[in-house]
Amino acid sequence: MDAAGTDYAAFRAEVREFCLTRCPADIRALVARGGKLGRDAWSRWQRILFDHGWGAPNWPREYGGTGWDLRQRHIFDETLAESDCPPQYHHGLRHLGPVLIEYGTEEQKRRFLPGILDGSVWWCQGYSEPGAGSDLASLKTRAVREGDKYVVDGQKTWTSHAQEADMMYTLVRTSQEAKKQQGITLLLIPLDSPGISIRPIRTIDNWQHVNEVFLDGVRVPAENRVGEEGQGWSYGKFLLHHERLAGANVAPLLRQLARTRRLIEEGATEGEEGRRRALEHRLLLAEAEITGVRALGHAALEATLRREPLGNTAAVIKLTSANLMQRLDEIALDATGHRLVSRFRPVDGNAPPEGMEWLQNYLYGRVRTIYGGSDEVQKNLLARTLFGH
Amino acid sequence: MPFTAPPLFPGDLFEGAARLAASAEGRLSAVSEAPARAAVLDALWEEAAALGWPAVMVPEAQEGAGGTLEDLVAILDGAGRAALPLPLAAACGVVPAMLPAEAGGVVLPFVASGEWRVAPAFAELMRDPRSPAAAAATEGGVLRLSGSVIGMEAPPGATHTLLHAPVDGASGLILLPLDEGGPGLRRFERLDGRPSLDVLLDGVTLPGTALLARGEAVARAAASARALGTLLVMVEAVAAMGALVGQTIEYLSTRVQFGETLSRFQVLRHGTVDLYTRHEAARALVVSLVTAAAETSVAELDARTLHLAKLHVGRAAREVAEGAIQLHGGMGLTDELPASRLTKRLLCVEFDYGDGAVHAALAA
Ligand SMILES: Cc1cc2nc3c(=O)[nH]c(=O)nc-3n(C[C@H](O)[C@H](O)[C@H](O)COP(=O)(O)OP(=O)(O)OC[C@H]3O[C@@H](n4cnc5c(N)ncnc54)[C@H](O)[C@@H]3O)c2cc1C
Repeated sequence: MDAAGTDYAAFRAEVREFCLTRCPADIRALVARGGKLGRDAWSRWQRILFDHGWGAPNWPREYGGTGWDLRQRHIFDETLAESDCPPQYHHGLRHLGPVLIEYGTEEQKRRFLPGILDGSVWWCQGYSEPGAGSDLASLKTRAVREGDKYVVDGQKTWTSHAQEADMMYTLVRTSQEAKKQQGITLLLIPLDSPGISIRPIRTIDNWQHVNEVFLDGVRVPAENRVGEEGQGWSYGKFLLHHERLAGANVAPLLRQLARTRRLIEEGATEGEEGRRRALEHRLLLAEAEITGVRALGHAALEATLRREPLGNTAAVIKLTSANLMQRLDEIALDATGHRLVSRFRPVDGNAPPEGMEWLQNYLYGRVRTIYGGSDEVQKNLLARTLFGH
Repeated sequence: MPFTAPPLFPGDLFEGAARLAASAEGRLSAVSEAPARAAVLDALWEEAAALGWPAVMVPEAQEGAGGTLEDLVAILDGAGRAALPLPLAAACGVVPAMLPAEAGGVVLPFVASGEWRVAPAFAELMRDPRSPAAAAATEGGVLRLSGSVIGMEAPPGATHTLLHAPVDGASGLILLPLDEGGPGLRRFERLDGRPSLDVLLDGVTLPGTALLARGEAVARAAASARALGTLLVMVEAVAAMGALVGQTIEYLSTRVQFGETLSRFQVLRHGTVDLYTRHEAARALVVSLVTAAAETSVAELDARTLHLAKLHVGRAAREVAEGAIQLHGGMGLTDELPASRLTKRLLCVEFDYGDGAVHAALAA
């Protein structure tokens, strides 16, 4: 119980009870085995949360938020992970939603927030381009104003979920003259607009989840522009600030640790004591390191509650937990690889061997140190704060 | 290419293999569905057979070319630089090595002519620890098989398996046809794109003649065939590592971010040097082993040295693969770069012919 009278233990129990009884068994099983989440599972789960009034824990109450404090939101995220429930699909709720709430017009809020809240409209993020990855500000997709429309030409890439999304929030260049960061504008583009074509990108994990999105003379109503023309970059920064604490939730790491421990204990390595002991030792070392990130996450939460600045903590947590997750993935690979790498893609309609998700997650997990600010880019930023230049 | 590792054994075999592997690259990247890929792989195997590769290690007495270990290594080096997804080491090297002298005549002429496509299987290695390994018992004049072989690398359209498994408790070598009415088969592609099979043996019976040999000689041949397989996997790994270092340098030298080629960023230069040093050490190790084996025989290589080498190269291959992915950024995760074929091949090295745990136990 805290000063405001919130009983956090009771809150945690309530969320847990909800997760265990209301999240559909097939979805929890999918999460438990490390399967790939898609729109179907995610939107069903979002609808269930929405119906319970828990659709948007991170939004203000007036837009359908829960009114929870930061600690409750943290407990909510943690409990979801601990109970094998999907984390909430982030593109609408965590990325676009807060920007719309801060900078959108009333009409835009009315038009777009409800579909995000109940999970009926699916969003994807069109930022990266073939020539603009780490250096996002060099993006070239052009939007030219013609009357009450923008005409958009260019290409996005790596667009996760575009193959199943309805809308793409998109950074486009509206001015060639301004300094790189300045001529960038945020547009909301319906993916069924004429002139859009989507091509899947094959990835090493054998899952289909990223795409190239080609925009050829796509006409987007000017009322789909968020905020001011040329200010898209600063909305991205706002978001960065807003989302800083997302990494403070180490529950996914702890969950993965527990799953990997169970994998090793449950005889995936039966009869091979040497392998088992070596894996258990590596797992213990990883667990020891997780205690450090966990402490960092906790400190970050407390600091935020006290309204103190976070400094470098968010970047340190992102760096450390991405690498720890990869280490866990690698331990699982060493527990299962000898029966999985040789049977990666079934031919003739066979079922994939049980547990193939371990290998797929290992492969996919290499992205953790690449996207959302690669390790190298994060270290550049941290070094700049340490050295002062 | 700014960095190219020199061929281990230069010559026509290396060049021919490098050419076929390079042509496979384009042909395979044009298709993604399994049946279409299987057709390309089948055609590639026919080309490999036309080049005489399955005959290279078959003695002349058995209608082969009677080639040397260096010949095979030259082929694997050339093919490995583009991760040609064919089980060349297994089908062209390990199969002849598994057969004790007196049993060779039954199989090898057909391997050499290309008429049979034979996949080697080791019951003790290719098993799911949670279900019974392959084994056999003699009963009257027949051989009763049981258990299963898991994830066996196999030439496209494999006609037979040469199976090392316990027969009545002793080492046996069984020739198992893979035709209709034979064992249950499940087809897969490995992570590196090579074809593989699960072979389900419960209830399969074979005439007694399918047991080619049994006893000490079989066990000895199987051990040296496994040693050869281990050595050849390392040869392929070195070939792939060297090529991947070259491709990473090329990628970083052309990709521009923040107005500079990525090759200007010191951390990426150092990252590339890390891959290069891994390659250099692994290459020296493999050259020393191949030289020693060529002077005497694979069977006479010091076992512990070989286990330590596999431990080393398995780790190195993975580090080079992971490092190259990171240096390529998002492109490292696509299936659409030649480099990806190399990284996926390198990630298999740890698991082929015994993973680190197996070799560590044997070396300890
Ligand atoms: C699976 C996946 C999903 C994705 N989903 C989305 C999505 O939904 N929407 C979207 O917009 N984007 C998405 N991305 C794109 C992602 O944000 C980019 O991959 C990321 O920004 C890195 O850019 P890049 O791939 O072009 O690599 P590059 O920027 O080309 O980097 C290559 C290498 O160079 C390093 N490097 C770059 N600059 C420097 C520097 N200054 N100093 C030192 N090292 C440097 C990098 O760290 C990396 O190791 C996704 C990517 C992947 C792989």
